[in-house]
Amino acid sequence: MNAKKAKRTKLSTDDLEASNLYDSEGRDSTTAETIANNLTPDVSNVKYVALSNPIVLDNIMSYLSYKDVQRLSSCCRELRQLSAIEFERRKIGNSSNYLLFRTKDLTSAAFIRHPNCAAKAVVHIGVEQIQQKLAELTNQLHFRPKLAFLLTGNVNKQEHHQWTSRFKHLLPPDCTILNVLSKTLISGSIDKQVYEVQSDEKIKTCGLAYLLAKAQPPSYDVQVFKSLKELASLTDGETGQHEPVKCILYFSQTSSQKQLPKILSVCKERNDDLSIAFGGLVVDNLSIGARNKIECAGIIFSGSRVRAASTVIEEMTDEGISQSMIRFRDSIPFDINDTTKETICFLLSCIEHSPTVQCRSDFTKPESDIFYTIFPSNVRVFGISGHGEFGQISNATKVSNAIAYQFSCIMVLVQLPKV
Amino acid sequence: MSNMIYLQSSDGDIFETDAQIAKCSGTIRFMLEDCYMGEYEGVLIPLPNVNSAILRKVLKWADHHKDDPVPIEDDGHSVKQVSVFSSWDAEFLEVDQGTLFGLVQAANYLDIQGLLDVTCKTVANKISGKTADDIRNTLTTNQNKFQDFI
Repeated sequence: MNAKKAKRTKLSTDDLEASNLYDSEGRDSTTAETIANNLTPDVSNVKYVALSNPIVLDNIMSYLSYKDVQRLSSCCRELRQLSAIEFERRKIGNSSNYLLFRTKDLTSAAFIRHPNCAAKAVVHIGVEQIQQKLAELTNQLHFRPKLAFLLTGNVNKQEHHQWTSRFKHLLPPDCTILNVLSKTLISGSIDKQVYEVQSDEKIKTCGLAYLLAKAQPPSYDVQVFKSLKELASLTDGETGQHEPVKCILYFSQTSSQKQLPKILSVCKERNDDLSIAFGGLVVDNLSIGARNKIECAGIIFSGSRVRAASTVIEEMTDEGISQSMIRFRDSIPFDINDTTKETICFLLSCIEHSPTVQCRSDFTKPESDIFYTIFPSNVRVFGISGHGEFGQISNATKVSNAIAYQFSCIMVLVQLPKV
Repeated sequence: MSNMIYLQSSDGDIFETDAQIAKCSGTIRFMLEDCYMGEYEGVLIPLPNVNSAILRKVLKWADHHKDDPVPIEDDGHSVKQVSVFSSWDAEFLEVDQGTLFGLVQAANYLDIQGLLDVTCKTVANKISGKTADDIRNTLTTNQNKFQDFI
């Protein structure tokens, strides 16, 4: 819209020298849509909104003395938790790259501190700029995310839930937050490079990779399931799920695989006998919103415009991994170079499938290091390691009933229309 | 020559302002430089989380501080000194609590570190030395927030 055409109805006030005031007539539909898509928290109680933001409270607390923080901690449970974080931060000072940090530490530089610091890798859909600090990112989203998929690395369970609740404060209430914890390794790509955060008890490295997705049926849909029963229900065409399921990401706290083959078989039938992309991992902890005790959970990508493929890499040499990746890349039945679409690769690997564990001379690079030598730079990487993996080779010529694997890396590639 | 842009508040009012002043906000700077690729003369930026009364005050603050040097980041871990802002800021922040928290919220949303710092300092000053009950009264009017009292 050309704002100059807006009808001027009010003149600038005395106390406002820098700006002039106009009414909103002439606002076109594009602007209205932009506004509708922006995050619009309830501003009816501005004090509550401001203080429910942990970033603001963090800032306020940074100006308080120990005594004041102590008093603050006796106000309510929420403030007690934040005060505990503040005390912890003051205790550990600069010596630790701990999970809990001040907002101003989250500069773009902090995102790319690698490899010995707490890197915060970010992958998200819908915004071009990916090196944004957390507050900027969530405030500047030009869309309303339906799903926040967090990978949290190397923290304890309490801190893991704190991350979920921090995101909950920053995102719209109807956004589902699935937070997966791995105490070993997470990775994410920033500007064509994959960064990894590995577990290190001594320097307490931790990491956060997150994907924010806006679904737009019928282009595509993302749904989170919290149990195998729910997964079965969401993938069953007769119970309301009309769009074909193209990809399932499955995370579990146990290696149990009950019903999984059956569910995948149902999905396969509904996709005109084409395999769906499937990958999963046994992880340390799962959290969805306020729910913490979850045995298994995951994400379903569905819709006719979604394309997906998956494979299992069992080789454990640099050369073998490269060759497997090339075979996989060449077998993908869609254009992964298409920059008009969002293409994301999930790397779900066994903790044993790592050069740091294997210590072999012919195995020096993990998948994340090799990835961009094989795949185009527009594909974003989102990875996590676990204690056992699930997967299947999509579009395979011969049928395999194998679902659970060991010592391997599952690659799941999903291509979504940009929204 | 200055570039004028337009900012639209949550209640629909449109403010004309110099882009250089508006760019003290990281959020707006990002939009202008990345979304509009530097070609932003006359563009309209909707700010759905800031109402017109607050936006007017934010712009007034930004105009006053437009020539300020870029603030030096502290280490983020030490306890900072309270009450070291200018007398103009002190006078500017002599407002009711609703406006003060509105400014905090707007400074956070717009990513104006200087304004966020002075508003948070002001809130911290209001808390400092008070009892838990007083703090509770200062920080909230929403009783639901405190349903989970210890």
